[in-house]
Amino acid sequence: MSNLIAKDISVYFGGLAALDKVSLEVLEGSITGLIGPNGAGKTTFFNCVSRFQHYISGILKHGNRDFRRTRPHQLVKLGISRTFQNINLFNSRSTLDNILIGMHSHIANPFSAMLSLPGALKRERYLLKQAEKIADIVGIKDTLGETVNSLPYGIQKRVELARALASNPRLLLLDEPVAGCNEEETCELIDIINYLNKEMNITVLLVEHDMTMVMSVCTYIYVLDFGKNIADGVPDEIQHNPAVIEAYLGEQNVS
Amino acid sequence: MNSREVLKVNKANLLLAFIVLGGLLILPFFIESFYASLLSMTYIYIIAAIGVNILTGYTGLVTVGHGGFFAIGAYTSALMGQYLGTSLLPGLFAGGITAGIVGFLLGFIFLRLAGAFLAIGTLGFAFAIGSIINNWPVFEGREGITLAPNNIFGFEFGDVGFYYVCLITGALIFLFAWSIIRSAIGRAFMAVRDSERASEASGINLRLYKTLSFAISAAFTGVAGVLFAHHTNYVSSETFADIWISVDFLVAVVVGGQASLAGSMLGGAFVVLLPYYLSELRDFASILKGVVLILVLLFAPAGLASIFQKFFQKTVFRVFPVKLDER
Repeated sequence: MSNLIAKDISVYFGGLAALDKVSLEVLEGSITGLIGPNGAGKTTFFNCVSRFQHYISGILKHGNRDFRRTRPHQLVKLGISRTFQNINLFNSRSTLDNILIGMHSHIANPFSAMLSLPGALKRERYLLKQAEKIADIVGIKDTLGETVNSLPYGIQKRVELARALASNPRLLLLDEPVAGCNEEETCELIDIINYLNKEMNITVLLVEHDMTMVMSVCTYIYVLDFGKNIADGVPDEIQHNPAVIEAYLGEQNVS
Repeated sequence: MNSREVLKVNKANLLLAFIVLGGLLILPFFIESFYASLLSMTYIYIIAAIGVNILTGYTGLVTVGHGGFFAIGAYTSALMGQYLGTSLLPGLFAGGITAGIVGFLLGFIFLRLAGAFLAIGTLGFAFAIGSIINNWPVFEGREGITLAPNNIFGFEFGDVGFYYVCLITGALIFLFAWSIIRSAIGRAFMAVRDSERASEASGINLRLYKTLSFAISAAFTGVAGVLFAHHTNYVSSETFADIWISVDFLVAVVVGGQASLAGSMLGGAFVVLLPYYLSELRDFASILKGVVLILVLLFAPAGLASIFQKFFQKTVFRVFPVKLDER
């Protein structure tokens, strides 16, 4: 059963095809990886799925719903959440506030909230408890009161993850979750992602450059190069796929 | 930090609020009615500053045009008084609601504008309102409209009575603003300010929250406008088509402290009382206002509220942990 289906998605920036008929399928319960050299179109694809980017042609479906007319803020209600490549937190707010904002789709109605009616306050107390639980899963419970821009990068990455988790998603889109992390931080994040997938039944689609991480965590992988699909398969197949090796070697030669 | 602490009211702040409110309630018995009138004007500017702060300080949408909403509130009440014979109370509601509706529409029109372009747009709005007031006959332009003496349900009152009207209205607006800011809605406003992308990814409908912020902000400033009109019982384009009102509001918010209700109070007081106390040196007051603004931006960008907060922190914080900045 699939969670997300993309078929022949194309995006043009001027005359340049950022995405050229890209197709992929995220199966329910999987951790699907999307890899490729720099500039392959991975983040553009992510932005299409999370609706920050328009696609000129193609079909994007989640369950029965076609995404063409969906706006970014509507994804959360559909059970889809994302993180951002260079993290995108609410810098002036505390860790707790960041998580609470992630739960925005679960707040009491604006009218009751603004007047601080008892129903709204009850809902706030409930959300606070849930926020603590999420902070616990991700391991940031002791930073709840800190302003996020005073936290180290590795912790900020986790706050970003907590914010995405806060809305109780069925599908999590992770854009380079371990970028800029050292080995220890990467291992910890891998554990968390596995926990989310296996214990909380959250399907994951992730973009990543760290090959070791991708090969160890993903159940299925799609490879893009120059905006096109060049391969897909289980990690073992991908590792030995000549087209994939060529694409990455090509990148090495250029740099 | 315990998450339960988030919902608790800061007891020191509550105590401070009661002390201040109590003091202001009994103040008229100890001062001449002229000073009561001056303080009424201060409360009016504080209400307007709270309005501007919600949009600019909390939601991050810069406005240099709130004088337009101020005028809308004032003229709504004035015209209602002229054609329907109503006075202060209906005027307050009608002025606030009318300004709020226009604010909502303006917020919608300006959805795609940001930063400097948004500021220019709001400036254009203020000029447009000023132009309408000057040129449409119904508003009587420079000749202006005189309002009936202030009364509630027929009971007339003077400067001291009006002082209490402004104080109570101000206290209610303050309370409402405080409730909004503490709530999930206030959180959403600040999220929009900090990152629109992350806000949308979190499920926040930008269109809804930007227009809502505009509407609330405009309504508050509109209410201030109604009170201003009834302060002198006279409206004319000479006062209301003046673009400097909008600038004064922004100065109040920046000097007092963005995203701080205490800051709005300090800023509102600054903008009203400075020119009064330097009234002999009229032009100098304006220059000084500008100088203070620049000094604040350079050395204390979080405004007077942050300066007072530091002071409190160094002195009475142990026994009296007030929190003046942010919320």
